[in-house]
Amino acid sequence: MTVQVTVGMRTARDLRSMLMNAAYSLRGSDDQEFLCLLFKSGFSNKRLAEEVEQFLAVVRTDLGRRVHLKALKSPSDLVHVLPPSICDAELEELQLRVAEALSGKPKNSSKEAVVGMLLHRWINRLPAVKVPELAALSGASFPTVYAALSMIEPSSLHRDEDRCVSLCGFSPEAWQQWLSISTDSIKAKFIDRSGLPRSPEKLARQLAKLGRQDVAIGGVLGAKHHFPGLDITAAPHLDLLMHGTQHADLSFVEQLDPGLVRDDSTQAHGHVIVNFVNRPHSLFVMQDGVMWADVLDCMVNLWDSHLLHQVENLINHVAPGGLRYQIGN
Amino acid sequence: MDQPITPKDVLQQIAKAIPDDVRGDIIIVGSLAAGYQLLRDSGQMIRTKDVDCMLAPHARAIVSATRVTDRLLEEGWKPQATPAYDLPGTAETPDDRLAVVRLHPPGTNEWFLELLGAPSDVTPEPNTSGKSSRRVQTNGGHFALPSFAYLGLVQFQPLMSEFGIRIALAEMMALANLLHHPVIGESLMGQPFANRQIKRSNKDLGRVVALAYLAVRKDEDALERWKSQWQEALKDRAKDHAESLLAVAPAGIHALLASPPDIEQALHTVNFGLLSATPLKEEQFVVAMRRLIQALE
Repeated sequence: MTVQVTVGMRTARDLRSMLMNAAYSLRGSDDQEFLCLLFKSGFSNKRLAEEVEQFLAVVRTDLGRRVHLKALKSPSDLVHVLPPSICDAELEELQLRVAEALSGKPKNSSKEAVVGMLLHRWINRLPAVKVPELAALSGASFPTVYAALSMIEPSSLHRDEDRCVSLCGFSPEAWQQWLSISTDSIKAKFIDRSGLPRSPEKLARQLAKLGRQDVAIGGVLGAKHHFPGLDITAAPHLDLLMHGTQHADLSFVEQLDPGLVRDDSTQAHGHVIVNFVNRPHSLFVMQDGVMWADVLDCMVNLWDSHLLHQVENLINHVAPGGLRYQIGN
Repeated sequence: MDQPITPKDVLQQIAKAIPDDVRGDIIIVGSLAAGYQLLRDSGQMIRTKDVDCMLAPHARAIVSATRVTDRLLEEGWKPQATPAYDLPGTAETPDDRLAVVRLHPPGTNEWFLELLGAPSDVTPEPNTSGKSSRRVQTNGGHFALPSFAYLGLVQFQPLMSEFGIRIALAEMMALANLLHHPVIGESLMGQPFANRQIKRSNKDLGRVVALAYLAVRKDEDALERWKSQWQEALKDRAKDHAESLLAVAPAGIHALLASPPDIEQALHTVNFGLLSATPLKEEQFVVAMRRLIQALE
């Protein structure tokens, strides 16, 4: 059984889209089932029943009867809607997924997030901070913060008499290491199935229309926003930054373009790539109705796209003193 | 099978044959109009057997149709014979036996020009009928000049071609088709389409999707302008009913999207018609429909 968990669904369009996608996904099998779980949805039970009735009226009977829709209040309600055959391990995994989806925000941060916060403060000329403040800002535990600080070259780390820490430099090797680790995170890839892909610029305009506070534009478009002189003419795809975990509801991507479908396989060339921000504060900035990702997140996206020259271009623009020499030399 | 033609060549041939003083009363609609504005840059050929010419305005349509028919017959164009209709028609021929003006150019039977008349107004409610007809008396006999309820909308801001003949905007043809088919009707096309019996509504709604697809292929923001163009056109041509007609316009596409057998038929018609050079897969066709709906919401 395939289970899709959504949180906060409000529109009939999203609901119909989810049901139709479920039906499409079942075309290849005769006995596979699809369970759509709605948490915190805006639909009454009567309305859901009406929508299911309409859905069943327009799809093949053998597909429609295998798509199930349930509106639930909490993960504990799962036991009442799942088939008795489900094992404890599967139930536990599903409850965990639901709990994370309901929380929607990262629970803890990594060492690279701590270093990233120090980089953010350095390039924005923000004052040095004590370890507890750094831990709070980056969402990391004290041990993680100390481990992160130990990774930084002593010559690049400044500790003042008040036990505050800040960066005073960052070598090309340190940039390379931080960028490489930062790109090694889970992403959601969406490919185009229209044969006529929308440009990243148009997709970004669609995102702005949605007015989301938790999703920002990164990648080449974001980098060019921060540094219009970036040496690149076009974005190869749209990078988005989502403030949340990989279990967050990504159904908004279909509103960017109905031609997009998720494909996380390694060979898939993502036309839209959703990256997840792993810290308590998103650092997104709204400007002229568009939510932009932090410049360092954009830089990580460029690195992930193997745009080394543009990464160096961007570092030289934002980092005090720029790069002393090229990365990799 | 419909023959592949190059829109520009056909348009040039028609323009040469038509008298100067009625050329301005002609608006090309249908496949040729779509091909001219959406496939012109690629020089792509389209498959069609009929080139539809609407005579507008309504008040001059009969006079213009008479002059165009007389002139083309003088130039050697030949009427297409159809068993169900009398050719040549006379004063005694009943209205329902009158043939539509369908003329083959000299030396070819690959395609024919068909004359239509602008309707007097736009029907207030969307429906699946709305056809009317008037008698045209020419030197070559009596013919029928049909009008369709919503086709008058193509009189809104048509393009002027370099040959002095106006071309209906793709979005206006799409709107006319949508208002004509708010549901999937059961009536079939008069002739098989690429060897298959096809519902008229599937052919016309498929055309809407193909127009939307080609418009986006030319300019990815095109569909965002369609709705505002439709608003303006309906205010201009059907002021008292503009809002209600606009609201119901996407209904036909919703109906098509909900019916896989009808999607398959509609796709068949566009892949053997307007999109014959670049046929779509069903999945791509569905995406084109959903993008259109998204742009209209």
